[in-house]
Amino acid sequence: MSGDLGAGRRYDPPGRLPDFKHIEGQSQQWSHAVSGWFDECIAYQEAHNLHPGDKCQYYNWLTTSPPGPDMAQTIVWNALPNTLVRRFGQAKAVELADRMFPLTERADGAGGYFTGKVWERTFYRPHDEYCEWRVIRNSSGKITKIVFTSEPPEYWQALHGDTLPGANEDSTAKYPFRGDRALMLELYRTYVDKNVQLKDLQAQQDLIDEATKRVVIPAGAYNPWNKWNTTHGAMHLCQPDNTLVAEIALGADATVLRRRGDRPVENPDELVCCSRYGGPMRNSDPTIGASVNSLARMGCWITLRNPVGLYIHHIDLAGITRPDGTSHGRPITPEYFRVERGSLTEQLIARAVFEVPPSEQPASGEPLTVSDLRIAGVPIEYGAQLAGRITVALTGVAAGPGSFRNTPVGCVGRCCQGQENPMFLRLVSRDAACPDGTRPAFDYPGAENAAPEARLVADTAPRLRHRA
Amino acid sequence: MTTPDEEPLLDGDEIQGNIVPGFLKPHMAVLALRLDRDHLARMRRWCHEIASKVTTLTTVMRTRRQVRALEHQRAEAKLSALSGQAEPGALGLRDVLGDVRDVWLSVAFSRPALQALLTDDQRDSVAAFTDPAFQLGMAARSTALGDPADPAEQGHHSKWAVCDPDILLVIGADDEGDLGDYLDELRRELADHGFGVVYEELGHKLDAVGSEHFGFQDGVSQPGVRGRYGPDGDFLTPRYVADMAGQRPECWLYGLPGQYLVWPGEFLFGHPGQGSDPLLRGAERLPGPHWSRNGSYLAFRRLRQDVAAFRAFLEESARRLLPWEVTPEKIGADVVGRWPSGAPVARTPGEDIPELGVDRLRNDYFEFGSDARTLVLTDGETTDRDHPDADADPIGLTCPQFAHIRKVNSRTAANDAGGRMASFTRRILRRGLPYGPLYDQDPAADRGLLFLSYQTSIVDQFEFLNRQWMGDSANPRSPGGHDMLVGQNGQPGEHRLRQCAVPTAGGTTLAAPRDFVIPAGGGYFFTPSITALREVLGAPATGR
Repeated sequence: MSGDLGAGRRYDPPGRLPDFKHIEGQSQQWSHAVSGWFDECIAYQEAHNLHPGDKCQYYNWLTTSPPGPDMAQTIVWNALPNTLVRRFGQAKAVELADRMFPLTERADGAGGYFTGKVWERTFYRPHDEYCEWRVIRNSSGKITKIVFTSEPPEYWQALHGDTLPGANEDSTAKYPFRGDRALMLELYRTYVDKNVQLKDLQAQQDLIDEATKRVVIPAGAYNPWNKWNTTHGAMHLCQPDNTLVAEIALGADATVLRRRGDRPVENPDELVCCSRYGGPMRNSDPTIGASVNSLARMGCWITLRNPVGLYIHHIDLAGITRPDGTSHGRPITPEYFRVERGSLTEQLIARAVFEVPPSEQPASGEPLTVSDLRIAGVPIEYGAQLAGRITVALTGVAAGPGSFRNTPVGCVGRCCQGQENPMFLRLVSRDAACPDGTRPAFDYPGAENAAPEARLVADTAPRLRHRA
Repeated sequence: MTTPDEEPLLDGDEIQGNIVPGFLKPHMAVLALRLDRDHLARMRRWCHEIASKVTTLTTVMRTRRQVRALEHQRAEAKLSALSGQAEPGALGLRDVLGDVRDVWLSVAFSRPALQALLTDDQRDSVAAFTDPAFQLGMAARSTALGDPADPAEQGHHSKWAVCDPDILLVIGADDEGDLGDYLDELRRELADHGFGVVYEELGHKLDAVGSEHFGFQDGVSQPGVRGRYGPDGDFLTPRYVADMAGQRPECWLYGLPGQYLVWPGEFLFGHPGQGSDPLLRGAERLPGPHWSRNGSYLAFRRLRQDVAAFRAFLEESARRLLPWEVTPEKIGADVVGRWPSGAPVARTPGEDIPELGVDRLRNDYFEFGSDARTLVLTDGETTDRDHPDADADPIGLTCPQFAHIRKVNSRTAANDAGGRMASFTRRILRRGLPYGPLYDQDPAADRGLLFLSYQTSIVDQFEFLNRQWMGDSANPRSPGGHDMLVGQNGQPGEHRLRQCAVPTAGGTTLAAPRDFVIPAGGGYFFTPSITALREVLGAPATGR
């Protein structure tokens, strides 16, 4: 069942993007890294989360072949950040979502990702659904183009030739890449701006989180928060949680069966709080986690389908109209949404652009812009309105139902619901008190007859890098 | 430990009774009116006068208590109809209710109508309605619902029998004759006040089961509205799951087993809506002017049903699935998610079980995302009394994910809108009835559904379900496909083709190149409270 399945299998780059083919050994290095991240996440679960002796239901497709046929499940979610919608309401959320946040300010609650002056001047897009966008406007303020991306930062770090770390904070694993900086620069110049310089993309000094004194980006390394990927452009995901390792680790975390007392935790919203595997207010994490966990409860082997990645699955263009002199306008054509990277037919879209295609431009006069279009009669003012029409996806694979009978383990976290804004959820560790202005949520009986918790992750245990 | 927050006391004399608990009568009339904008004073006067005739929550609940007490007989009547012992068209509801002969009225207004009727000092308050769908009207939103964009195509709003009228009246009655008499009087009254009736149509229960024209029991799954009413503070939605150890939170989550209890702000302006935890009250929602409290948005869709095309699709699909020995009846059940009796495929994938279909304590109890725990009910029986409770079915191997009932309510299964929240926040209160004769009585006749739904956000509830779930091949969960029953594919370049993959037939794809349900009318309205109707819309005129 386990072992090296031969040279025939390899983890492909996200969306089977072709760039690594031009770099000797890079494709193999990528496969090795993805495989390593899987192995680390599996080992982590067995060491820290699962009931002693239980084996992890997550598997590395490169080295493990579960019994029987497998079945794929595409797990889908909406790209508009639900975190913002739940915190601020729909109208404010679409406005805020088009802005950039400094890395010292989280979009999902109090606090920041990093501390220090440098981070106050370093920005990210508050798009925590693994799909980000950037709005490009003309001198009149009209939207001419909206760029969407779902490419993970790891791909670009690899392209730069950096060494990527292991999946958890204390990991000693290192995944070096050969890289091709000239190619990376060429891609940036092709997709973002012809003026991009290599040094713009690199950290010019160690970028240090003052709170932990940790070097987040060493000098000379690729900087995912470089200006051409943040304030001046969008090449790949830059929200700190939007990483490929996060996806792999979330899948692993979600295979762990949970219980409160003698009852299994199954409700998706309760589960994300109990397991602490992601943002509880998102569209994505509760859905990804619960979908995986429901397969785990069936005793399945579970993994992510190659090529492992998070993708723009499709956009819903129904009801988007352009002016044609009538009151309701004319429907736009599919050409308004152009896939630049990844595969449209396989629904593995890594990068796409929404704009008025040349064939739709008037022969004379003012050019038609995205701002001239309407969605169900409402003018497009923000990129977020289009993001609300985008479905993001990953594909899980399950096999061998009934192969596992793992013992559910206790919760490691819980959620607190805002009192002023009851849609707001704050995730805290299991034994922490709810912060002021919040009260416990999903704190149902069942814990009343709690057996001794089988295993709890101590606060000092090494954490998977993505964990909430 | 979380215990449920106290549910608000609803003002039963203020809330129109078709919102909650709903008329749910066997006969219905829908009248659409046009305002005479040159004689608004007369129309305001009518608003003032009609307020006392509009049926309230309090009034409806009096009868509803009687109906609930006779639930057992209603189930018997349904079973008789399903076994062929009752004549088609027989109305089991009336038979058991004996002398109950209500005729009930509700009234709702479009945004332009509100704007016209409001006095000068109130007119601008219409802008406080935050829902763009309500502001723009259904025709402007039509293509986003998946409706055809080409004016030449059937279903385009230019061909509708009624489109965004000013006022919609809905009348429910136990007796068809009573309804007719009431309408005669109403028409006279409307004429006296200068209203033009631009559309009028009758709807009826087709049989004792409550089937729609494709032959499936409709209206089985409705959200339960949290809230109390009356001097005793009774729950609006009765609780049937016993409150006992091991059954919490289920006893707090459900009315009927499987019927999630939803905070009233999801349907009524000015009340607490949903929070993150379904047991804890959410923020009070008033997405409109101050006088919109106790009101609700009404979405009306006249949906024509092409029974011949639906049946042909089932037959053709059965031929396509011949190697798997799938019958047209099974495909129909998979498309709906229920068998004709209402029995859920999730609990009986192989055959219809009429006894289960008419058993309201068990016909809506299944979870999709998790095993349905066996529950003890308030009558001491259990949910698995006659049939095993449903196992989890996260991928749709038992009930396909393209099934209509999965497309509009994913229950405990996580979905594209995040976790389970949508199972509470995307719900609507359906109040429609079929129109037109049974297909077999007159195949060429026009028939369909007079769809009515109440909600506090047209965009986030009615339109969301139509566009993001029913009209999308991947959402709310995959693998699945389009909603082959009601969904429309309005995606440019896809030529309205709807497709689904049948998991029990090796994932074979079924395709429907034409719609079986075609929009043929509709509009968006606001249903005001009694006081708003009388004092705000019916305020003494100072203008024309």
